[in-house]
Amino acid sequence: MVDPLTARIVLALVALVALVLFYVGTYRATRARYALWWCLALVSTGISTAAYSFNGSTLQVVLNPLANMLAVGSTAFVWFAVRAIRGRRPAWAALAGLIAVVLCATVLGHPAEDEWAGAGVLIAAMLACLVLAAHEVRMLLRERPRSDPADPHDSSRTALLALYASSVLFGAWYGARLVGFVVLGTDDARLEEWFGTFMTSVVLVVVLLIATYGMSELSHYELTRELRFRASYDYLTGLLSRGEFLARAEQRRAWPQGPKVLVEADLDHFKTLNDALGHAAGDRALLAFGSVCRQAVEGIGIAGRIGGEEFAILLDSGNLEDARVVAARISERYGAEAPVRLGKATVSYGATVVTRGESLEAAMLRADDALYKAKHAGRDRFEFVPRPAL
Amino acid sequence: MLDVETLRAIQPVITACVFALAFFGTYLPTRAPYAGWWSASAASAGIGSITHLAIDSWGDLAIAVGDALTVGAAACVWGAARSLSGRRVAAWWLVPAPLIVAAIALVEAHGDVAGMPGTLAVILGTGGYLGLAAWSLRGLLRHRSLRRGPGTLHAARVAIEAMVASTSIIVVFYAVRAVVYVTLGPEHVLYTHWTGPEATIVTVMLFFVVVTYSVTELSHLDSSLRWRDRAMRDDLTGLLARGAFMDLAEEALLHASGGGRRLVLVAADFDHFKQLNDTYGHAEGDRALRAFGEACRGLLRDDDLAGRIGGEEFELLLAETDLAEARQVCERLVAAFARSYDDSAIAAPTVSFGVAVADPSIPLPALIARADAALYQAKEQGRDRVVIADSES
Repeated sequence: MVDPLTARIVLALVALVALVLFYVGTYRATRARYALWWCLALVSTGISTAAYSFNGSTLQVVLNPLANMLAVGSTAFVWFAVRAIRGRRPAWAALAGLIAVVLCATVLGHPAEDEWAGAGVLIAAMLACLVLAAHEVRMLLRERPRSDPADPHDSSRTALLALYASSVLFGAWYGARLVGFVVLGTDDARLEEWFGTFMTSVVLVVVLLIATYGMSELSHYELTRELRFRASYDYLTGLLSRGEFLARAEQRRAWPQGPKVLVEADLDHFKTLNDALGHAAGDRALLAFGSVCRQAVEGIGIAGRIGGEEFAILLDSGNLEDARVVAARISERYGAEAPVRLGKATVSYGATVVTRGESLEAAMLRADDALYKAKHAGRDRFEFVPRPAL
Repeated sequence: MLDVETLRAIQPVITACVFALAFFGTYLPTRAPYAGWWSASAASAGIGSITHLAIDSWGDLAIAVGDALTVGAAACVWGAARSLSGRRVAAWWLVPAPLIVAAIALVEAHGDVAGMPGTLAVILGTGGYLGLAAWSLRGLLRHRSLRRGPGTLHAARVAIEAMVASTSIIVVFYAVRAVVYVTLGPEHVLYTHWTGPEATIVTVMLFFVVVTYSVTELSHLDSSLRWRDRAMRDDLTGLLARGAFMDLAEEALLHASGGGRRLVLVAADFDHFKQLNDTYGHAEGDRALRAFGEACRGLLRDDDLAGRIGGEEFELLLAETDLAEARQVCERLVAAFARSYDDSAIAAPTVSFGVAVADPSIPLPALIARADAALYQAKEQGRDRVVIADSES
């Protein structure tokens, strides 16, 4: 025969240890809302478990209703934690309503004598919170892009799957308990044996461990998001950074859809502009080019800043005419938007075709040659160097 | 107070959960060796605790196998601790001790020994391996990259502290257990009450929870450090990016003003870089930048900072240096830079330097302006030279 008190003590201890680790390690690093809600869920699980341990003593009349309130609170906090990840506010009214209903049902059920006072309502309320939480996680999984190209080991997905698994497991358990409670009734010994304290504690320990894992994975994802962004994008133009452009271009080069056009772009007379009007004017020109270029290649390729005033574009298409059109569009808008005009703001382009069979560096060198041709032919033009025949 | 049967029923569930999280959640995505060791430990402990449940049907054999697996689990914790500190553990190192413990258990089962056969051997074997693990982990507390750093590394720091603390606690627990067992015997109330199976199961379960959290956090340490590095560095030259250089230089100036350490700021700029680019193409220009970055990294000390501030502009912040030494550093940089072009048809671009001594009373932007003014003078005077800023200006 198992001992319910032992199971409760184990659950309370696991919750306490998870709380201390999560608070000191994860919450203090992120200070994120959802981490705070998860701490509160752990606290209320621990206290409610401790309060249930007084069942059978004279304190039961006070502590049993309190434990029920905290139990429904802990599931509501799980729900709030997931809502916070989605950027939504806690549903205070729903929480107050649920606590009031559970408290009424418990008080009406003679908590002094009956350990199961208000249990049916409590289980139904907890189940409701968990279903809502599981639903929110599902929405999160659907909303997030399947994978972030900047981050091949996408820990946010693992984290969300862990959270989903734990909320579904938790919810399924309370669903089963509710069915058991309705079908068997509190007088049946099998209710305690199958759906009672011991089994619930074991399920809760497992849920706690999985969900804490999911929450700390998620925190890590959030914490590195800014670093990943800083590493992947150029701070001034908002285009890809050099390293990120080369990495992604390398990936795309290996795509099976055939050759692609690689274009190098260089702002004309940039040094003159910088020297004559100062670095701030130069920065504004770069910024303008960045935004024009980003719009022009959106959805049809990638663009990065690979040097001071040098940019690179890799189009998904292998058709040179497409590249000419893109370059013309960029030049036209940049000419109109570049804030400082010393004559007309122009751009030179050098293009080549890159195929799967050659290295990216070789293609970059050819694009560089093409750019050199464009510069020497008088700038403000598009030149092409074909791939040498094999 | 605690019921051992209940604990024995919960333990495999927790261990299975810990195994699943460590193996599927951490080891498979990251392939971190310590996560692998930790999964192995959880698996071994879990199977060990299930084997103990089969005593009724298997008898002494169940005890021996269970004991071996328990000690094996502790051995894997040592493996995890060693690989966390970057040292290797060969799997066969872990085989002998569990076999010896199992043999002792079998021998004692046939002899006339009080209590469970092999208990002392299990306590000593488990405690011993955990002690080795705690010893290996100690060094991690001084991990250089963890000493200072942004919030990303905070969690990893806490994870290591939690792991060291929990391992130390469990080692102390096993030591007390062994002492009580030897001096008072397995029947004594002190042993059964405070260090018996109930207390052991609870302690081990909580230890598992702590280590699983820590292993999860630490598995992110590598990727955090990598992203931090990528965010801070210019990836052509490998030197600090502009923002990171400014932040770190600001911090260094702040420290120096307290400790009275001398810092020298050097501004460097390639001569005629535009011509190089236009004549030989951007690839040549990139090569020059890369070579200069390499020269800087090869020459500077740990406390020095080097950043690429613009296209061909660099700033160096030299620690514990005077003007004569700073001038020497510039000359050696130029020499190393030129050497990297030894096998090349063209020569390395020449470099102009402006040098300014840090003064606690002037902020970083003013210091940079001072070095830039000296650099401008170097360009005016014909390039390819070092000019020291007039400290009165």
